This record gives sequence, structure tokens and C-alpha cells, in this order.
Amino acid sequence: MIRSGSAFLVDLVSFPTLTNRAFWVAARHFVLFRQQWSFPLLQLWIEPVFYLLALGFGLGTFVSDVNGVDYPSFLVPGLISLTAFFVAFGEAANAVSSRLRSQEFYKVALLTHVQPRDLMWGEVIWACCKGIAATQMFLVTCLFVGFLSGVSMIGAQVFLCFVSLVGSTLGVFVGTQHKKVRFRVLVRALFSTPGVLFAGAYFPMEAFSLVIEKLSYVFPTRHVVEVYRHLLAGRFPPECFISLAVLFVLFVLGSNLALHLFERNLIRLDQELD
Amino acid sequence: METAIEARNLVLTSASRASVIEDLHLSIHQSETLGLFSFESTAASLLLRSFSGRYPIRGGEVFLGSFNARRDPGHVRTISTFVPQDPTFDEFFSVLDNLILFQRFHGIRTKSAIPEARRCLRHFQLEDLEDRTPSDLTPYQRRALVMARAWSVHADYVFLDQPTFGLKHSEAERLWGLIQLAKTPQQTLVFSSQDRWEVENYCDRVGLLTGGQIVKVGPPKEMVHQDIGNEVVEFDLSQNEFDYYEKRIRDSFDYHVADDCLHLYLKNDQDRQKSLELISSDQVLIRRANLGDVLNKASSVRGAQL
Repeated sequence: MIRSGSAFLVDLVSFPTLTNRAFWVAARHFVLFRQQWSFPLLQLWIEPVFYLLALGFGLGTFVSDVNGVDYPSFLVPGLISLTAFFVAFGEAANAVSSRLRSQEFYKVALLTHVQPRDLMWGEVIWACCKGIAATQMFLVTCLFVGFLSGVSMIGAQVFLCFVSLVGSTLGVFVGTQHKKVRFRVLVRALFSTPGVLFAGAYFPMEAFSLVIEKLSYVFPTRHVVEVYRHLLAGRFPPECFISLAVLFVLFVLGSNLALHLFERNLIRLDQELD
Repeated sequence: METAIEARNLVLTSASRASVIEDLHLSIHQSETLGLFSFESTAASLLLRSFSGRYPIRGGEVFLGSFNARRDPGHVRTISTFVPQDPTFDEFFSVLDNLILFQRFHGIRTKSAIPEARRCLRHFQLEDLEDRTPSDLTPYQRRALVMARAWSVHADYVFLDQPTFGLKHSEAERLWGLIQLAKTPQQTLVFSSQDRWEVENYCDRVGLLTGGQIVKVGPPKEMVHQDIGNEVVEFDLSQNEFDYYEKRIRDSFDYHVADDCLHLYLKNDQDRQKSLELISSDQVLIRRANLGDVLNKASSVRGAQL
């Protein structure tokens, strides 16, 4: 259980640990998903494909080239990395908020050996898996239409898994705030929307002044897109280490803070008398 | 007899930080069935939750075997199971899958979880419903299912919070029959109830919980016999009459006043006729003494202490 005061600060920066019980929770979500897999899977695949069709093929016809490549080829790495992040983020946020609000699953799970920490990591693992699945499906689609080659894919794939992990921990954090409507509106307005638009996925951020370009690094998605582009191109310049470090710190802080809030919500749920 | 659960100076507070259990002491024997009889359902429920490692202990200690529930609630959870008053299920899964999932979350492998789930469903006479979802079941069947789920994990300590709440008498009797058959000699069973019939019939010893403390523990029949006697005579009196009649009976009888009714407790050697001569009332009821009388008497004593 998260403690108070200075001990809480120590918890906040400690490296997250997870038990195999978290995998039991993720397995439960998988079993449920398997019962009705086709529609959710289609949902995960179709959204980035629509973006590719509308922006890549639609808008792309009006754009000659970007940084020396045709527009769809510029767009695809950005879309893939944003898919990895935002699918995991959205899935975790929605799952946690709906289960905290109305479903009995957490109450039942808390009657067993499973503890709040396991439930939180179970949600993270499962949302991360969905992020990876969505990315893989989109990636195969892009390979199929010829916007990607198989070169330098392994490092990039590992990075996408990490991106989904970061996205899902931040998603759990947002999901724990299910009662605060204003908070969720703020997240959408100040994090999700600008995070998508100013990530450097749709256009090079060099189009803006240097100040705005640097400011865009406050969004984790900016680091995600940049590192992924470099990895796909088969290079890893020093600034990628900084981006990776930023994402890693965000993952550690985000997961510990999410765990703290998640535990608080569940303890309240557990203490709630029937 | 070996002690299975021991609570010392236990203090519990509600979610709003109000004190619910204060300085409670209780010792529960290995493999016994102990009933917590109380009209304070919140206190009883929190007590069972804290025993099972599912509620934070503010003060004192609770030991289950070799584990301390305050310091190590995680371990206590591994050896105990708690059944809440309101049966909750994972409604997306079938009856059978609910049991399997529950066992999986207790670390039991699927291979052994499936036959065990089926055995428990058969024991609680739910084998024909294994493919239904819990929302399709009747209230009795949901109760039986929650018991099947609790027994599927072979916990050493079973805590039931008002196990038959909301059931008809016949259904409650039927369920208790199945619970008694399901309980193994190694298991220690603790349940809470507001129904004296349930406590009088289905526990080895009863603990009376009132004012945040266990005020009495013992076999139910013995407790009634020692504290109250054989019979209770109830007199309906007006407020003006109480003072007068109280003076007349104070030295010779035990009694309890509740609302407009005076309860006179008749010990074995006391004469019913004599009490009827001492008090005159339009409505008099003579009945057998029960645990409710013991709890009422204990509550008034505890109330006076507070």
C-alpha cells in the first residue's frame, strides 16, 4: 500500500514491480475479449486506416513531398507510433473508469488473492497488448500497401511495445479520475488533442518557430514519433537517448502515481459496504 | 482447544473515520463455527472483513494461525475467504467460469479448477445452471453460488457476512444444510447475523456484538439459560406506570425496558405466577427466552457503561 509524506515520494520514483497475479487479471480480460473478438479488433484496426486514407491519400495528393519523401511515407511512421500510444492510452482509461464506475469485477477480484496493485498492472498489460495488436495490424496494412519496408523493424517494434506501455500507464492514471468530468475534458483539450497535432506526425515541427518546436517536446507523443522515425530509418542519434529517458521517467512516475490513485479508488470500493 | 483466530484490543473505523469497533477482544477456536449476533450490521461486517485481511486495522492486533492480519493482510487473504452480504459476480462470465476465474485468482491451476468448480456446483445443487450467467439466477441461487465459490478455494478460514440475508426461512434452512455439509473439520467458520434463529441453530458458540465490543461469548443455549433463564414475561405498560412497577420487581427479578414494554426474565427457580401478581397490564405475553433477550440485556448494560 502506498504510504504518506516522504515515503510517498520514495514510492513515486521507485521502479515498478509486478507479480504473476497481474497476468491472471490480463488473462481474464483476454478471455472476455476472445468471446467477442471480431468487432473490437476491427475497431482497433479501422481508425488508423481511416487516418491513412483521409490524410495520406486525400490530403497527400495536395502535398508534393515532405523532407524528401512522399507525404504518405512521411505520415505512416507518425500514425503507427501514435496508434501504439493512443490505443493503449484510450483502452486503459476507458476500461479503468468503466470498471471503477459500474462493473463488479474489481469487487470480486478483491475477494481473492489479487490486490489493487495486481489489478492495476493487469489493466496496464492488457491495454498495452491492445496497443501492440492495433499497431501490428496497421503496420501490416502499411507494409501491404508499400509504405514501409522490413528494414530496421525489430528495434522499432520493441520501441512500440514500450510506447504502448507508457500510454497504458498514463491511461490508467486518467481512468482513475473517472468522477472528475472536468479533469477528463482538460486531458482531452490539453493533452490528447495537442499531443496528436503537435507530435510531428502530420507535418514536420520545423514548420513552426524554434520556440514552439521546442515547446512541443512537453508532449510525450513528440518524443515517441521522433524516436520511431529515427529507428525506422535505422539510426539512433544522441537526442533519441534524451527522448527515451523522458519516456522512461514518464513511465515510472506515471505508473506509480496511477497505482497510488488506483489503490485509493479500490480501497474505497473495498471498504464500501454492500 | 487450539485458538484459530485471536483479536486483541482491536479498533476499526468506518470509511468516514467514525469508530465502529473499540478495544475488542475475541478468541475463536480451531474448526468451530462462531456466529456474531448483532443488530449493528456495519460493525459486524467490518469485523469479518478485518479478520479476513480485507479491511485496514486501526489499532490492536488480529492473528489468524501464525499470521498477523494487521501487518500481513496479504498472507491472511491467502488462507481465508470472505463472502460479502451482497453476492457480487463477474457478470460477463457464466456460472462455471465465475468459479474457475475465482480459483485462478487464488492461484489454483485451471486444470484442477474446473473439476473443483463442478464439484462445488454439484454440492450446492447448481450443476444444471453452469452455463447461465449469474444475472439469470434467483436470489437463492446467487447465494448458493457465492457459497460454492467460497468453498471452491479450500480456505482454512471462512467468513460469511449475513449469509442468508433476504432469503425465505425455508431457503435459509436449505442453504445452511449445504453449508454445514460443505464445511470440513479443518475449517473455522465465522458468520454474522441479525437473525437469532440462524445463530441459535447453526453455530457452536455465539459472540454478542454491541456498542463496538463483543460483550459475551458462549454456546447459544447455555448463554440464554445463564443470562435470562427459561421464560420471559412481557408487560405492555404506560410511561407513568414504569417507575412504580420497577420498584416492585427490582429486588426479585432481572428485567429490561424497551419502548413501552417491560421484559421480565424468569430464572429456573422463579415463579411465573408471582410475576403476574406483581404487575398488572392489559397485555401480557409469556414466551421462551432467546438470544435476542440476551443481546437486548447486554446492549442496555453496554449502553449504561458508555
